[in-house]
Formats: sequence, C-alpha cells, structure tokens
Amino acid sequence: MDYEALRTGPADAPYWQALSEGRLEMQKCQGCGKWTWPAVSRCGECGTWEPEWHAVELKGKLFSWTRTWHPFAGTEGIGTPYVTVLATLPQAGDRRLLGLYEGNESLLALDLPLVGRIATTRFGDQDIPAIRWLPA
Amino acid sequence: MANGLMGKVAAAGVGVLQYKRAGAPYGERGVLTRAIVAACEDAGLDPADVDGFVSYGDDHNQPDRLMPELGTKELRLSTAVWGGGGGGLLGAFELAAMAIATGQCKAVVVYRALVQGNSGRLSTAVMAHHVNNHFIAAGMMSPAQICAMRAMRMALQHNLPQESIEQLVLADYYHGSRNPEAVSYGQQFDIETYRNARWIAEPLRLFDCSRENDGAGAILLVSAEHARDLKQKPVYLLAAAIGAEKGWGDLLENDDDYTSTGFEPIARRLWESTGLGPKDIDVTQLYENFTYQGVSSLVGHGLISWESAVEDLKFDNLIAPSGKLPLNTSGGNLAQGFIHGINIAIEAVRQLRGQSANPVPDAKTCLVCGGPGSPINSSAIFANQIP
Ligand SMILES: [Zn+2]
Repeated sequence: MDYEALRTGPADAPYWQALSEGRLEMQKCQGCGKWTWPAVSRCGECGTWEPEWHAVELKGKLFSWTRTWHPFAGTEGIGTPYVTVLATLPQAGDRRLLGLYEGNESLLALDLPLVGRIATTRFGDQDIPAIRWLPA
Repeated sequence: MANGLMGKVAAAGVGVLQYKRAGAPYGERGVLTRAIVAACEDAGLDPADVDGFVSYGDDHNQPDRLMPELGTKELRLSTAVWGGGGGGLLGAFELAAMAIATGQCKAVVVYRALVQGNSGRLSTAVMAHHVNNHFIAAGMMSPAQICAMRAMRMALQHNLPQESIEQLVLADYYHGSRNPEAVSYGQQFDIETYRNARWIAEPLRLFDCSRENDGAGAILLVSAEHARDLKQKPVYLLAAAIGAEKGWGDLLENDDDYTSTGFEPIARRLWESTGLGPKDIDVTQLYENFTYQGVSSLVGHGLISWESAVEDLKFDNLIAPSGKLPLNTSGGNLAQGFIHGINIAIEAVRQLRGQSANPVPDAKTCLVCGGPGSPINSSAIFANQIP
C-alpha cells in the first residue's frame, strides 16, 4: 500500500485501497477510541490527526433496506430490481455501510444478521470495489 | 436567544410562473425575470429598487446577470445558500431578512428558477453534491433511493403504516384540485392510481415522489415598516433558521437519528426566538420531496409524534378549512407543482393574506419547512400580525 499517496488523497482513500485488495478497513481514533465514519483527517471528538485504520470483519446487522425498481442512469450494470441494504457493523462501533444484497429477499427485516463479501459494482464503464451483503 | 428578526421584515410581493416540465415558453432567465417583476408589481415596488437577491439549491441565475432586465440601480446583496437541496429554502429568507434588518439592503428578492432545457434535471443536480463511490457501489444513484432507505427505516422502526402516508397524499391532491394554479387543478385523485403506481424504490412509489416543473418563483422582502406602505397586507417573518447539529449531515447514512429529517435544532431555534410552539402554528407548508420525509418533518417540528402519527395523519385533519393540522394548502410539491419548493413559501404568504385557494379560517401563523432529510435543512414562521 502506498501510504504516502493515501495520506495526501481524500480521507477515505485507505478504505478504497483496502477494499480493492479484498479487505475491509475502517477508521478508529487512537486518541479517544471512537470509530470515525465517514473517514476524517482529524477526529472532531478529541482533535487527534489521522485516525488509524483497522481491519474489520464483514459482519453486520440489517439497519434498513430498499429495493430499487426504477432504472436510474448508471445502474444498467446492476439491473433492476435490486436490493440495497444499510448494515451496522458491531465491530466498528455500529457505524453503517451500504451494499448490494444478494440473499433471500423474503428474509429482509430489521437486525437480520449479515455477512459480507467483497466484489465490484459496474457503474458506467467503471468497476468500483463494493460490499455484497447476505444473511449470516 | 436572539430574536433580532422577529417581525422586522415582511414579504410584500410574490410572483410565480409555472409550466409543465420542459414546457417553459422562455429561457430560465426570462421566466425568472417575469416572476421577479410580478412580485414587485404585486407589492407596488419598482423592480429597479430591488437591491438584494438570495437563492438556494444551486440556482443558476446570478443576480448580476439579472440587472440589465430589472433595471437594478445598485446591487448590494448577491448570494445563495450552500447545499444542493431544498434545505436551503428558508435559509434564503433568513439571509435576506438579516440584510434588511441590519440596513444592508432595502428590498431583497428570494427566488428559485428551474427550466429543464437550461439547467437539467433537479435530481441530478442535487445528487452531484451527495453521491460518491460509497453510494454508487451500492446502486444508490438518486435522492429517491436515499430517501427510500430512510423511509423504510421510518416505517419499520415506528410502525408507520402506508395508510397514514396516503392521507398526506390525499390532502395534497384535495388542495391541489381546488387550486387553479396547481398542476392537479380540477382533477379527481384516485387513490387506486396511487396505490398501483410503479415502484421507484420501496417503499416509495411514483406518486410518493415530487416531480419538478419548469418555472420560477420570487418573493419580495422589505422592512416591516416599508411593507405597511406597499399594496398588499404585510406577511411578517417571525423567524427563520437553517443548519444541522452534531450527528447529522453528509455522513454516508450514519446520522444518529436515521428517521429524523434534521429539523430538531431548527425547530428549537424557531420556538426559542419567537416564544411560540407547535400549538401556535395555524397552517403548515411542508416540503415533501418524498412523502415519508414530509411526515418526519412534522415530527421534527413537534407538530405530531411518531406515536401519534396514525391518529394525527387523517385526511379530515389535514385539510382546510376544518382540519386541526391543515397542510400544503396549495397542493404542495406533489399536487401544486415543484419548483424546488419556492411554491410552498409563496403559498404561506398567500394563505396569510387570505388569498389561498384553500383558506384556513383566521390563520395567523404559517410554518414552512424546507428540504427534509437534506444534510442542511431550514424552516421559518410567517405571520400576518406580530404576536
Ligand atoms: Zn478522537
């Protein structure tokens, strides 16, 4: 990982770098212990600069979901209808991450235990590193 | 608590031109110029004397470019509220009022123009602020989908039934059907059409989403004293507030209270600065970009609670003249038309002048809420007398 480049890029560059290498990493402040998400260059709670990145397991709970039916521009590579979930990550201070859902849709309910895998989502002519959630 | 704006500034004129989407007969600036001149004529003030302009939501019409057609003698305030959504709507009034109350300006127009051929689709513009790879990677491309995700949580966490949402839609269309300026004027709204409309993103169907019109709206603000010398009955601005508190904003869906629409700190400031409370509001103009967000903004202002929502959200309760919680008396964004929310502020003025198509008897105060669920939101209270 080119840490020098990641420091001078957007605060969430290490997230994308890790995801593209098949890992989930999130940011936790070494000063106050708070999981900071969205990523920040300074912890607004305690003033610590550049909170550290930590590997987090792709385990979560369903916080909300929506099934998209309208073919919004750019989503052709996904194909409607598709379900997006918002998952809380207990290992990361219950911070929330979005992802496409690829499990049994009849199971969708609050607090459904989820596991994730890392994939890519086609958007236009780009493949973006992405999380897929499915029932644990 | 500062109450330096209370009753110092008044809306003296309104102007609005509305067309079907992509149906404007003039370019965006042409439509806007006509709306501003109409607002000035409504007030009886020479457009050349307007010295301040405030917009929001990425309006593309810079005030300096309007000057030649308005004959502007001197431009003293030329600004817009940050943020791409309708959350800036009442923030624009706050800025305009601050400029007038401090003597920086004498006559300020708050405006919004939207002509698709010139400025493109609104949702695209709003999303340009918000969407990034975190959203795109999950197939989230539009405000509708983000609001749907939040709406689903509202429905599940608060046991909010679809029937309650329908009541808001019915009230909007009832008011719109009686308003000659509304896109739904004269139309009988069929609830089965609503229920069977195609899904956009669950739980939102087509008619849960406001769909933009071409058009422009303008509201002329002057000092309260000045307004009393002009043609119309003054409609005073009692308070306006914009902002967000910690735990709310552009947070990748990590807002502390995910079923909120961000109005709690705004409402608190309105009540603190006016001494009024939810029970003092006679009529409400809600910015319902999406139906569920409209309901949540009622909760955020304390007009209803999640626990009382089913009881309070009844068609009979939401309509003029007899309901106790009359709202969107022009038809709102859903049934009157949607020029990024400026219409609902104009309806507030008309309602308090007694010029609404759906008058609320003896209405003295009107709450207007802008942009539910935006990273930054705003609200204001207007009144036809200073309490
Ligand atoms: Zn910290």
